[in-house]
Amino acid sequence: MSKLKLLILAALLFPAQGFAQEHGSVVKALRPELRTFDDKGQPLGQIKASELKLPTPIVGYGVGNSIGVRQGANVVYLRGLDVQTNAAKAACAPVQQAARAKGSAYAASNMGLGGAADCKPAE
Amino acid sequence: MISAGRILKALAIGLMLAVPAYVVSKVNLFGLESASDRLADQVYQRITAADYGKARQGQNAVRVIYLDETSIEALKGYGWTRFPPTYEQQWTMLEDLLYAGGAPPSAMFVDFVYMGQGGAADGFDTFLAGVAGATHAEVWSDKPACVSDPLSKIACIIGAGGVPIIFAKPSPADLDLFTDVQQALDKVSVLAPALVGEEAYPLITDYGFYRAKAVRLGVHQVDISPAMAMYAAYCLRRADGCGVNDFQALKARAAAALNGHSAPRAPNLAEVFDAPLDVVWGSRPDPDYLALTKAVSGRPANCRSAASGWRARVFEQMAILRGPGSGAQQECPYTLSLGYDRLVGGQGLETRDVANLLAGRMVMVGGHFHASSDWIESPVHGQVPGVQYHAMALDNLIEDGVDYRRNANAMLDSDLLKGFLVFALAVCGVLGVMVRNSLLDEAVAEGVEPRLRAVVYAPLYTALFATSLGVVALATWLGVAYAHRSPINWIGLSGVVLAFLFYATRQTLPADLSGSFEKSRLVRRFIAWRRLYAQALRFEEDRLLRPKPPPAPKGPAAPPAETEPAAAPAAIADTAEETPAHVQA
Repeated sequence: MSKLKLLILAALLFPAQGFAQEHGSVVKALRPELRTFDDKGQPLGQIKASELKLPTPIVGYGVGNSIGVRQGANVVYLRGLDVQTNAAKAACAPVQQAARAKGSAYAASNMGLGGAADCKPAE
Repeated sequence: MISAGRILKALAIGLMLAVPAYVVSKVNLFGLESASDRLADQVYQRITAADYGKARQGQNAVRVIYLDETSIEALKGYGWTRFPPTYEQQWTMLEDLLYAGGAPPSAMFVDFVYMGQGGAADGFDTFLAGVAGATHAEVWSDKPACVSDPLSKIACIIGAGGVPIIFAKPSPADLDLFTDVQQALDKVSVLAPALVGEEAYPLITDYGFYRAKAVRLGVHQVDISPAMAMYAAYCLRRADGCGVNDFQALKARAAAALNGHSAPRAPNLAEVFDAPLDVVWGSRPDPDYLALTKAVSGRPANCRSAASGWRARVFEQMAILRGPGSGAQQECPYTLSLGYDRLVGGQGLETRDVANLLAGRMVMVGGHFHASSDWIESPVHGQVPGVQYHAMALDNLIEDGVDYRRNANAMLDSDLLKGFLVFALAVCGVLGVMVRNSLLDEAVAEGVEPRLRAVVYAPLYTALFATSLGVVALATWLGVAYAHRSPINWIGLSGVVLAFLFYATRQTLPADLSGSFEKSRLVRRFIAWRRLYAQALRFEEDRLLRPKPPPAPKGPAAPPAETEPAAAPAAIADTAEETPAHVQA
């Protein structure tokens, strides 16, 4: 293998590895069967936990912080509730205070951790 | 010092005040009286909210999992692409809550009212089968003793090893309807009327329906509220039955019914839980909630700092500083609450967090939808979703058991109590003023210097006012702490007492107090200003009520002379202020 090919291979691999490290990995399946979705949230059915090679790097996050992992040639998105992750961190920063003008909010805006309203994409 | 005649006079005056007070309470013109009662309760709660639930028994047991607009948006990533979600999707949610914690919850209340099926593809059969499996309905649903009343049903579900699932339904007293979906759910779970009053949270309701109507509306003898149903499940799982013998009896009855033996008569828990609950709100957020928020969002919860005593609560509840529900920072919920989408996304949540949330807990599922009408006013938090109200009611029952705070207005004639208090305070006030007059007589007889009289009067007036307010405060505290009743209308009573005392001493109080200090230049100047002010006020009054001209002398009539209108009454008043006056009761 020429040096050029090695360099190209390294250039392709290292960023991917860094990306995976940035998003963490799925280390354990918590259910015998896992629900899967596409990046838009359409259900893709269920896969057996044994079909997932663990640990597997997280390649991205979908709508509602679903966890994207490679499954064969495709990326499928899992529910965080169904798997145990390591160093997983979605791009999210709380905006509770900034989102509310003084005196404008119901108390229950703070009733719990909320959902998308509590997060904005990290810049 | 005080003759029998004077005592009779004091009693007559007390009666004269108490009877109109009672009538005004009963008439409740424009709802002012009930609004005043509610306000007194709310202010009392705001002051004492930090002291509620120090043992955290309720906080450790109760959890709220909610859906709101942002949850629904986030759940699009998990196939929730319509609203309301399908029955199948909702069953997925309930299944998660039942099994994701590693162990099932002790009981679950679902604060969504299911009226009808959404269609063949909606998955109602899956939903129903899932609920039936969770409650082990196949074990108990054919046992008559298990379905005779909702409490027996819960006991049988627990006896069969299932998880009691309580679904909300409209109150049969409000809606004469029991749909097919509700009938199907009723066979495998428990239905509880969730549309409860804000002022009084009912526990066990006997509608008094005749049998045919009760059957048609799915009422099994009585209905129990969601908090009561959850509390029954909580107690039935405890070895001591929360110290209530009837829960032990219920447990034994369920065991007999499940084993095919003849079940004994169902205990009457309505005798123990004999009045509606006056929900007490706590202000300290659950420490688990604070920890969870920090773990998920990476920073502390955006809550107001909790005041830690009644003095701090009084200070912080001044509206000008921050009233309930105002400001960018809100009171955080008392009960640990989590959006379902957060649970599904799992971000920042460890497995142990999920277990802490769900396993063995009393889980209440409900909506926090801003666009819905299911909101109530909490005196401590401002507007809160209805499910938080049920959670707080359950928390009250877990904390206080059978000594829960009963809604006094709903169980006894609190107006009579208030009337009696007004009577007693008026009598004491009048007797106090009579004592003052006797002291004055003695002082005048002995030629005591007027400026020394304050030595006698100051303690008298202080005792009079402080005792009256103290009696109201004591009656309020005793009622709450020992009689377990909602606070009496202490604001109204204090207002009436102060108004009466100030009216009764309107002449003597300034004279007695200023009598001691009248040699002071500052006090003399103040008295002069007050006379000027009084003079100015009298000006218009005297023009309206011009003094009658003296009777015309016989003989040729002379034209009436122009007189200074304010001179005569002012002179009389000034003269009256110079000498201490007796009270004209």
